[in-house]
Amino acid sequence: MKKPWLSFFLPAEFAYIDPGSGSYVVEIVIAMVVGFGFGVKMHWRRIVGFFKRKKE
Amino acid sequence: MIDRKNRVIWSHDPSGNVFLRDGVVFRRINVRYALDYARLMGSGLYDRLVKDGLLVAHEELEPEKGDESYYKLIKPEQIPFISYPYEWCFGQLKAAALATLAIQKTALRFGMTLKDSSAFNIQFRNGTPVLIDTLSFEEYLPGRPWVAYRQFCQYFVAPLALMRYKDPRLSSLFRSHHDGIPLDLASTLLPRATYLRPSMFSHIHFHAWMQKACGARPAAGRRLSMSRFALDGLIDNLESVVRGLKIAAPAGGMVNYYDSLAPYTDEGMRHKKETVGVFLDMVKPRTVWDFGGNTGAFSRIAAGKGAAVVSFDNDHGAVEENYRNCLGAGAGNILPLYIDVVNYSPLLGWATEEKMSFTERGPVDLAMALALVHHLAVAYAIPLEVIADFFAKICGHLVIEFVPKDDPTVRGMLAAREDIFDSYTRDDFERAFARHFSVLKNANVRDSGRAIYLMKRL
Repeated sequence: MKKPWLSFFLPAEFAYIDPGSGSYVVEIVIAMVVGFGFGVKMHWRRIVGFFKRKKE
Repeated sequence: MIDRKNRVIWSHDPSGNVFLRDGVVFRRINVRYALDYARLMGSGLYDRLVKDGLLVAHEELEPEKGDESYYKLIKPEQIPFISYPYEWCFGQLKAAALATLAIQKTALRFGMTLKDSSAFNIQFRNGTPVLIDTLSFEEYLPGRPWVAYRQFCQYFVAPLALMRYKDPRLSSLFRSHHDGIPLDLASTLLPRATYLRPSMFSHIHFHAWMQKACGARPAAGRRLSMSRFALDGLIDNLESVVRGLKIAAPAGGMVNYYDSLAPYTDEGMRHKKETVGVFLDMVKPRTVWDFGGNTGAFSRIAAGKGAAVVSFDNDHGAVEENYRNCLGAGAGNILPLYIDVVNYSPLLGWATEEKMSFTERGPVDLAMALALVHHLAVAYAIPLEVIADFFAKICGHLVIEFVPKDDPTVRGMLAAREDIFDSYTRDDFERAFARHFSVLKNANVRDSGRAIYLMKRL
């Protein structure tokens, strides 16, 4: 393998040829990074509700 | 030369193509797109998007018989004036980006996804962006990443970032890059400081780097997968990235032309507006092109009289302000565009046949050229006859202002150069235009040496 660091992003079984494969990796990495924040945003009311209930 | 009003527009997509018949747009759908088309129409997605003003409506017609790959023929709602991303201001490109994301979010709710996110698939209708490519949708397969993500970055994130962090005039890169701005180019052009912004680092710099790194990987293995939740997160992230890109209210250039530089007194300006209004009432044009429209003061007069107006200027700040004014006033029948009349959009694309030239989108009922001719004749040294020839090709009526040599603006233009304009007098102007037009009416603008003419093409 010419670029060993790639294996960090592209496990062998995920290797996929497409002119946009770099883009696929990027969107997956971004989705992983922003995923936590997005989860909090989507469930914000429930999270706040959970803590409010505890307080009460 | 092919017949431009009767031609096939190559669509880059085997699902179908678009063709013109006597200038009317039709779309052919091929059998290979039948399932996705049925899903679009049957799932309720089409109705939802049309109702939300995000997709053009269409009617189904009988397809021609005898061709087995021919599935359906549709006639989409016609867009009166086609414009291209290289003619849009920042605000328009941003609105198109947000519309594309809104469409993708809606599509996902109905089990479909956008397979294309080209900015060229968006047009402005009544001032708001609408998708014109009915065949952009395909079934959403769980686990599949967004196939149009790369396109979205090239068509929207990269140019908006360049316009925001470098210069709004960089939208003109769309003229040379019809597949969107290459990310490696955007990454090179953007200031180094944008590496520190997570949104710019991830969607542009890291993205460009990964494209290069993965470009030559051999074919093997399975597809990359991505959960629906992760996909929603990505779209949500792109939406906040686009919303976060803002440019300051435009200033300088021609924006304050009417406020500070113009040689009109308040009475002169009022009289000029009144005269233009009277001329418009005499012709009652359905369509108006306002050349050198600046921030749209005169476009709004024409729009107020019910005309569909396209307002051009070569100053990006003026176009941006015009667009914002239109949004604020709900003036949907004005389309401000960033077009330079001395270097307007040519025929572009494959075989220079795909993207229409600016003049091809005419002729227009009435053209307005207010405070413009001296810029063309003096600043650009275009002979008056040549200017008259141009307007004769594109309009039926013309409202045009003559600005004489002793006008303060022209004196300013001539201050720094030799006066080579012996044949720039009102008589020369009238003679040049009389070759193509008859003068219906003219008026001298009060408190100035300027004159406005209403002309009809012979």
